Amino acid sequence: MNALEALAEPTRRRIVELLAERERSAGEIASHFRASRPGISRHLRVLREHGLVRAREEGQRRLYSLDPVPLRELDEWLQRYREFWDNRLDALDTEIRRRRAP
Amino acid sequence: MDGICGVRLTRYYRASPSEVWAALTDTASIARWLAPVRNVDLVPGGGFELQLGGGVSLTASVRSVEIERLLELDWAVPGEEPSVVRFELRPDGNGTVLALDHRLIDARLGMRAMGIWEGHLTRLDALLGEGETR
Repeated sequence: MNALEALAEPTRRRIVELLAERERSAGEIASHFRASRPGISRHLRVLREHGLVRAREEGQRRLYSLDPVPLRELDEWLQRYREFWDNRLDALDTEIRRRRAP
Repeated sequence: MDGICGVRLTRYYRASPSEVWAALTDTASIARWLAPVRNVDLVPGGGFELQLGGGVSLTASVRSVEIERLLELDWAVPGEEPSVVRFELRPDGNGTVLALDHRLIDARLGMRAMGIWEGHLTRLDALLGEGETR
């Protein structure tokens, strides 16, 4: 499994959304799900292993936040497709005009 | 919204839907705006083959077609998981709005739809950007 595949799982995706809002503790994250706390911990571990989420200790609590780097990589990957189509749709405009020319 | 990883672009063209459709689907036109193409047959079960750079050919197969309104294609490069490209036209004043959706199923890694969509990513990016300036 790679970072992108780790995000294919709906619970993990929802965790990432929660962490996109702000840093949260494991208990706070778990309160948003019906799944058991150990289940959520496993998902958090997977997200950490793939570098999507990072954790820091604060007193008794462990706080989780997003690690922006893999998400940036995903966005850069999508950007290549955006640029491809952006150029092609410009070319389509040129083609529409060309077909009109006498 | 379903979990979709992909790109969506919309364009306004100063031309009628039938003109945009003709440019979008005519063989000679496709070759000019998209890539060298052959075997164009835009009916269900048909499609076309594109010659991309580096000797790579791509097969587009029609999933759905409605003349002057919709063209949805399976978009397959050999060795990669197919993705779906959808063109949708609608008249708008004196012109036409084209919406392009490319639903990407991670072509590099051969995985299934991974459920992050563009707007969501943009939002994440904005949030993450704010986080960094703290």
